[in-house]
Amino acid sequence: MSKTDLSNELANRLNRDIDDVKALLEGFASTVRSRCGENRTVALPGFGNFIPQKEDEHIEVDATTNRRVLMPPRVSLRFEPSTILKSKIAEKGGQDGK
Amino acid sequence: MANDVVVFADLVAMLAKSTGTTEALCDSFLRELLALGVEKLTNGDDFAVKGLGTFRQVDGDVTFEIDRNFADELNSAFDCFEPIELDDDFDEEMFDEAEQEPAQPDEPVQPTAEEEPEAELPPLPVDEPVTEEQQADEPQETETDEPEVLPPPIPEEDRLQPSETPVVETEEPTIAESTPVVPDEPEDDEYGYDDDTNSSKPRWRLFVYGIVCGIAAAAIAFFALSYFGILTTTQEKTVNPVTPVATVAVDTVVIDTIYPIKPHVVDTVPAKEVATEKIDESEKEPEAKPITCKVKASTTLCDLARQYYGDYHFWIYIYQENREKIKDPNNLQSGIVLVIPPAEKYGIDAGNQASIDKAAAGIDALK
Repeated sequence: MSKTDLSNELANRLNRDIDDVKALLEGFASTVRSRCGENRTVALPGFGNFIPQKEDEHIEVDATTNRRVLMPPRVSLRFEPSTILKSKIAEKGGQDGK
Repeated sequence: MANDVVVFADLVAMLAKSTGTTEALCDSFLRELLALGVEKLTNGDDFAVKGLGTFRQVDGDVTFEIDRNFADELNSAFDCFEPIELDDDFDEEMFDEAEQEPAQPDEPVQPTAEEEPEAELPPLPVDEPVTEEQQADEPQETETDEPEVLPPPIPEEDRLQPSETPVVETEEPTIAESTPVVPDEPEDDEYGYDDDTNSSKPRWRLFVYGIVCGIAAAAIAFFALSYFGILTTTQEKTVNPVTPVATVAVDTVVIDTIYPIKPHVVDTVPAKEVATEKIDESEKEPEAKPITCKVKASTTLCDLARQYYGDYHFWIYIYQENREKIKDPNNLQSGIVLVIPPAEKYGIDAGNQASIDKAAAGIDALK
């Protein structure tokens, strides 16, 4: 689903102007990014959680050169889907399988 | 270490504040957005949100591909660091703990974070266009709570059995034993009494010393004044300053004996000189110096006799001594100077009746 389709779909469901929906989408993304940048978990009920994680510096072995490399610390974002979403996907997969 | 969680309500408030819209609109928007995402993923379609990333369903699991800009923004603090190729002799022990730390976030933190917002999701009003699936899902959320949130049970070995009583080990020192009793003389370093006591001690001592010195100075001044006061009246330095009263008494007795005080008698000779003369006469018994006195108006020989000898009968001796100057013994001339003979010359003794009779006989003979 493209982003334009997402905006149109939401505009239809909310019975709102598409520009308003786009503004809300941008606001939503900006809010999630800012909160994750503060190292705070964003919980979306029924969907999942955005969990920022800091990885400390560590040593890895380069497979090609077989030499040890000191990897710098970094912050990554991990998405953990909710159990409800997983269960729905599983139910759907079971229904499709049938 | 768990991060702070932004729940759905907070997200709605933040979105409303950032976009300048109402929380109701933001609430309905987010619900529709999440519902649409669940629907798409359930159907196997990708769900992309501009600025965040793309959600995909892969083999029953949901993956998230973060937006490039979002990832760079998230890791902006460590962008300056690059991987460094290490030498062969580099010691890895210092990174052992760092390698183990990335495993810690794998602990079941997400279920708690996931279930809390789901539990906190307020019930949807009836008027809002909510799909039936969501309404049916919400009660199930409570039913499908996994026990992952509960902390691991305490092993039985570590549990305190009801039969067991908490035994206080006697080896451990009690509070009374461990804490030192405040000594009578407080230690200077521990309780901080030093400053107060040290500062108050010299002040208190100085105050006491000042009082004692003041009392001593007052006593010295009193005795000194009394000492000098005695000297001025008696003119004798042999007076003991400790017992000046006794000496004064002796001197006054001597003076009174020699010079009985008469208000109407005026001595031409100053008192000091007379006193010295009298003292000298008393000391020098063989040499009896005559005493003179200037007669005032209304002064009689009897008065002089009483004054100098203690009895009026002895006026006859004063008359005999000054026969040349006294024309009429009953009427003395004012201004004349009479000589008062010493008592030993005529055997004058006011306490001896014979002496008085002898003087009376002399008076009769004169008549």
